[in-house]
Amino acid sequence: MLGLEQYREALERCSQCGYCQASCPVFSQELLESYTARGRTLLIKAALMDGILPVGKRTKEIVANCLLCGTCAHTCPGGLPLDEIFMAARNQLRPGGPAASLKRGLHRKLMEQRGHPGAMGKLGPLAKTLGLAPADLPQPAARPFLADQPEVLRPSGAVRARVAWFVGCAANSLHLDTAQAVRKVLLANGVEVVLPQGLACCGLPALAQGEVEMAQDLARRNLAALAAQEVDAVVTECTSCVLMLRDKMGRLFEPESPEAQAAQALAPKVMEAGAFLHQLGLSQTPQECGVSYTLHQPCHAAGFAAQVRQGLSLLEQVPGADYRPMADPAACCGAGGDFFLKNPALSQGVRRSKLEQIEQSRAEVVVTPCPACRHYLSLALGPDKVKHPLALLAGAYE
Amino acid sequence: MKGLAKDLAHLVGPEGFSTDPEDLLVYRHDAIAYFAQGEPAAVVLPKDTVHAAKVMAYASQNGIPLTPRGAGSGLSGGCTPVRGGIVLDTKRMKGILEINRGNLTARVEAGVVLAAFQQAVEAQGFFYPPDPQSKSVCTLGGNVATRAGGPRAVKYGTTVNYVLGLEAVLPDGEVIRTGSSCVKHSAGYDLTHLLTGSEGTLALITQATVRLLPKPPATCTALAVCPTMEMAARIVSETIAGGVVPSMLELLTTASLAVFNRFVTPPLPEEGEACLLMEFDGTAQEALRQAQEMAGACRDMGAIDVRVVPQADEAAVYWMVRSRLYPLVVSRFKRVVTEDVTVPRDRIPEFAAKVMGIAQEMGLSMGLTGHAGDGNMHPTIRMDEVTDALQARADQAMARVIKAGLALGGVISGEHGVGLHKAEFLELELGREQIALMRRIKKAFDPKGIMNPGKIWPPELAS
Repeated sequence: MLGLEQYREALERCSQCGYCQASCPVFSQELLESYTARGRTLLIKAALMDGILPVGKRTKEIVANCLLCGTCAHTCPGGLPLDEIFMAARNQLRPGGPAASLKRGLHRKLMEQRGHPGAMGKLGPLAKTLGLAPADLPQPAARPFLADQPEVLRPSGAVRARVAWFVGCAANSLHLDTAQAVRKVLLANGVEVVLPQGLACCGLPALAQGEVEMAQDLARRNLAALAAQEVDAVVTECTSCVLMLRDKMGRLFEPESPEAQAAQALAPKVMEAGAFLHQLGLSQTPQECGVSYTLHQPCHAAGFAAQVRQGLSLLEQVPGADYRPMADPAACCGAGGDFFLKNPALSQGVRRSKLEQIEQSRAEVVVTPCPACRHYLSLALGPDKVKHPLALLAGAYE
Repeated sequence: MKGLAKDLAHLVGPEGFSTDPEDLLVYRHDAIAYFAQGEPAAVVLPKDTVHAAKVMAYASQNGIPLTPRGAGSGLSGGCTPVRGGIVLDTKRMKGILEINRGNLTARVEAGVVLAAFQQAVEAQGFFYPPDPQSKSVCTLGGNVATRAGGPRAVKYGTTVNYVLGLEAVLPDGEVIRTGSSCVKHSAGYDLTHLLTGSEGTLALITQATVRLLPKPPATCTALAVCPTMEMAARIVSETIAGGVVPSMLELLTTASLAVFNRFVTPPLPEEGEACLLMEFDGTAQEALRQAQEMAGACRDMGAIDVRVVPQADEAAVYWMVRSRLYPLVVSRFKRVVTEDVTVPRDRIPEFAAKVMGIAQEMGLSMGLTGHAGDGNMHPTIRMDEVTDALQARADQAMARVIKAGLALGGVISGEHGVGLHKAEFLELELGREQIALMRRIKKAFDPKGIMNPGKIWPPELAS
């Protein structure tokens, strides 16, 4: 993911079949072919690579109007890395000038300082004032989850496994209930949990804004912190962190570079926390919990959907919990990180059909491992209606 | 085109069109890169027939070319705006207006996506068989305009066999309703089936009334790997002669086996020259019995490997792979030239031998896949590099393939339509007199010649 030119060969392999129309949430709303992967790649090549079209406002709009859900890449018959091409295009279109670089500096601080007590509390509002973070983003917790955790969490009984836990930014600062639930279920099942020092944001939010260099720096920090750990797995409760740490981090660097090699070595160890617990097996039996739930599968899980299913299968072991599948759990909810804040009408259109599916499932609670999906769905459904799957399991451990 | 944007904003509102070069770039194309030969001045996305009619009347008054478009997933250059003008994108007309259980018919707007429509009718226990492999994106309007077909044609025919009536806008903006929703209809010229397959050269199709069937209760899939193309072709023609009618019968090259193996277990042997992918439908028992009989026959004839896949979800994986094979092949080569020749099914072995002979003589890498059960073959030349010399050789080879198909009583296109791709061969199939008659019909519909100009007709007539 070093530059668009790196993707020229892939772009030239596009068969132009147009099958990407079937899966793009933005296209489903606009029904204009410019908003398909075929349209975007034709435009990116013409305007940003071959100079056939001048780069105008409309080019930027079309490149920006993408959720980066990656669904097109997963359904492309030719297997083109379309999401990466769009990130590389955003990299090329990043604004310059002093204001942009000030924002970039603050953005970087936020990503690096994650977990630092008070950092979010101070930097957060400033970011909002500068328009860097959306104004209606919820206020982060004054004390992040990690501020009060020891370096190693030890279970009371026998140690069955040892993991490094990459606590996602959202669980650390916004959804502390998720972090507490994950801690609880890991410890209850005999997992010793290392909370490595020196971790930063996974880097996916930076990539979404085309900040490739920033993502590389964050990846270097995370690789250094994680590579040193002697653990059975690196777990995280956040789908997007799994995507970044498992699939994207290595692709940020030149193939064969030390960073790429370190990322490749780490990738097989990275797991969604629920999938790890599934593979380990529950040692503590959940108690009766009369709740009906449905799964919303985050778009970023498309490459490891089996892990989401494994996490879900833990809930099948909760007596009284009733799974009510919706028609298409993998259909987009419209959030796309902070896309919904910049494109409210479009996102609401996408969310509308998801809400219909949820309604039809007649489940009381929606479970989803992605904090952005959770946030955006709960804006429509209410704060208690959307949870992390492991929060539901933790509820059965009361 | 001065003032075009202003006029269009007045006719369809600011959201209903674009004249931005970034949007227009995208609308040069269909699913084949080299058919992008002209840029439109505007793309208009009418939300209904009224909008479409307004724009067409305006275009007619001002002599602006109109190119109707569905999903842009066609393979013949049918929807590319080679003479500029306005592209009429029908995708926002996407209402399923009626599913009539008592009459076994449905009425849809032109932009309804085929897969969404099939899902909607199947949810009610009905079946709409036509299945071009782009079904996840292609539109009913585009299907009607090209007489699109797919694997199920062997048993169920193509789109033309299901269209009962149409709503269409004539180039001057007048709206006509042809045919009916009756099973029988014997009054007047059959304009419904004249417009079906007219590739946007006569009118804009805005709605279609189609026939539905009851959904067969079960299907069973089978696959046979054959040592030679000739054997595969022989199995197809003997199957048809034996009175067995599969619901799908596809002939694929051995290269596709590697693609199947990325998705299915146990892996298939990646050997031989061809494989046959089949489906049978009926009651679960009937479907299974037919598949097993067919599998037995394939084994007896010397197939390397034969498997029967009765589970629907497992079978769906095979057919998902099948539908992606074409774009996948295209993505692996610098250029792929695909033909759409169809021959009577008893001539498939001869046709396959001819095609392979031509490929060998001309030193080209050619694959022969297709809907063998209905005689519709897609000889495909795969080029690792694009040079004028190689392209000329490929063109020459395809011309020979087409002539070989015609000599066997075949047709130049089974399902893709003529578009730009086969215009130069139309006269070979139809003859001068038929073309002259068709030209007079065209004139009656479209006296100003604004509908999809540059298409269908032999190049010297296409002006």
